[in-house]
Amino acid sequence: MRICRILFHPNSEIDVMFSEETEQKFRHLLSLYPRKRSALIPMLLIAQREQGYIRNETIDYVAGLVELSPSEVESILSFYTMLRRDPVGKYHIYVCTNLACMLRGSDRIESTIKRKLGVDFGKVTEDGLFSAVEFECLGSCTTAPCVTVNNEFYENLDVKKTEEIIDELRRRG
Amino acid sequence: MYETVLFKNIADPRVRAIDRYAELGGYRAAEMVVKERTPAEVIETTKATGLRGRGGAGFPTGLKWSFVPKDTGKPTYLCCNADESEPGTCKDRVIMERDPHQLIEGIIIASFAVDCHLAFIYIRGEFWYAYRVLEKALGEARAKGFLGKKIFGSNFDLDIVLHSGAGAYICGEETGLIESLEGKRGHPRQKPPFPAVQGLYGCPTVVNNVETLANLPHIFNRGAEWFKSIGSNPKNTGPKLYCMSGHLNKPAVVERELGIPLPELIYDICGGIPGGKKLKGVIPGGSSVPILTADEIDVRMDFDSLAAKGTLLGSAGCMVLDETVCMVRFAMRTARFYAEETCGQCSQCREGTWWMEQVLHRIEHGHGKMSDLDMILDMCSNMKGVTICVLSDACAMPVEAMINKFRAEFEYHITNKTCMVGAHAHA
Ligand SMILES: Cc1cc2nc3c(=O)[nH]c(=O)nc-3n(C[C@H](O)[C@H](O)[C@H](O)COP(=O)(O)O)c2cc1C
Repeated sequence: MRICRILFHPNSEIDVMFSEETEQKFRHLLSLYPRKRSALIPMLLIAQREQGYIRNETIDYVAGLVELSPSEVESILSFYTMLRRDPVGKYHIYVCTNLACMLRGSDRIESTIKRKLGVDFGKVTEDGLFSAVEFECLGSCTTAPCVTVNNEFYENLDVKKTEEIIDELRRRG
Repeated sequence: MYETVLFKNIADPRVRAIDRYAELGGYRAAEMVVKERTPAEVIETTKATGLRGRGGAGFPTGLKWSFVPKDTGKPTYLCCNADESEPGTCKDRVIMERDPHQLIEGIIIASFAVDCHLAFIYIRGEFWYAYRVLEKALGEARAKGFLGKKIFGSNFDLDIVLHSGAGAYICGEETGLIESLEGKRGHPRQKPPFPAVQGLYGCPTVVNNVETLANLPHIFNRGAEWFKSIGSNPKNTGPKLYCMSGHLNKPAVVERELGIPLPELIYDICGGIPGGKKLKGVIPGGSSVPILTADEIDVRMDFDSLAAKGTLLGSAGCMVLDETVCMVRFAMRTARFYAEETCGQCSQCREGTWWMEQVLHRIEHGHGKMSDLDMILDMCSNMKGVTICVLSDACAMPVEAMINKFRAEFEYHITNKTCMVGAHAHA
């Protein structure tokens, strides 16, 4: 855990809590580009991977690192579907419903996942394990239908396979 | 017999390791180019191959490079477009996951041609596995001295930064990509100035697709004449990856010559339509291109043959639809994608894609009016050629073609408040 003083909030002490590994990745990213700001989106992705979503404190902290205002960072991140401002389940599922998956029965995958989770898309299951959202084409068209769980692909799905995936993840906990 | 080029080694899991890739002849072309050729020679050879961009627009690659001004005092950047988000497209992912060094070698050759010392791979954030494969491969290439200072012991310096996007189709458009890489919203820029003159950080920039770049090692190993000998004619040359999806017995990413007849892809290579069903139509180049009806599929899969048929090769994301597909629902889902993905800068696109989806939605759900069809067609013509980038056109073109070619089905839906085909798009 570390406490850092943010450029734009000189009076606030913000508890950001990134692992040393993530901090190291931030430093590395900031060194890669001719302009710091280019590191913004990759840094937010890394922060999100560690914390599950983008917290207010993270925005302030990262804004300081790339020398932007927090509101600019907020505006930019709202453009990108993968960046989220609310917590999700431990296993966050993208369900592709775009054309190629639709042709191969993504309707049934969608309803299977909703039924197995017992919550609608966008909601987190009570145990905190799962959440799912509808997603645009994931680039798995010849192995459709597909979903990703925390960005790992599961392809050539049918109802049975989808049920098994959820069961297996639930077992894993 | 077609001789596989781009996919020659993808069945070999070991080829992801640099030693195996090198053992199979990898990095020889890049080393030869940086040590023995001048950038002008590399551009000339590439021009002579007739290679056209595989990202969608089919622009001649050598010509694009030749637009980069020299001696501006500014650095030149190369961006490899690995955003691959056009619905129906999944070919670049295969190259990156299975043969990453082929892409890295291509980037080295292209960077040398345009005197670029810092290149970027902009990869869509959803491709987390491909990201890790590439990250490892880049590390190996650096360790070998194939990237970094004085690569291959030459005088040429090059590093490659792997940059992850975060979910936005528009960041595949080259100026949207550049804005995003600068750490902004992916809002496309007005052209001109073209990126070749004023791109990333205001500097000359070349944006090339993954598959385009993957061709380069082969070109410099085997020569322009060899490359030109593949394909349907001198303007449509080289190997091509086709993403064959939808209602097929054997959907797959297939490599064949540019310009293979479409029926051969569907019936001979991908095993035809499952369950003895009839073909309804084919979207040959990703969701943005006009559909071909079953009667129109006798065409070669190349840039000019498809253009002559009123459609486009695009990203070669070829989706095959059988007779059970409801064209109204298909059009609605198409429009919804663009309504989701419009960046919102231009009103014709922001409002047009949204309204298009709304009107198609109401037809699909039995609340449509007959006048809706002409209204949509009218909207389509008002959405084309009027915006900063062509996302707006990419929504209008396919929807327009679906209504024009399957109008009776839309009318049936409006009159009978139900589907003509009786079933929704189930496999
Ligand atoms: C809305 C839109 C999305 C695009 N998406 C991609 C993409 O995901 N990948 C890609 O390579 N090109 C994409 N393009 C095309 C690029 O703008 C550009 O033409 C291409 O990357 C150039 O590379 P090439 O000459 O090697 O084809 C897209 C274009 C538009 C208008």
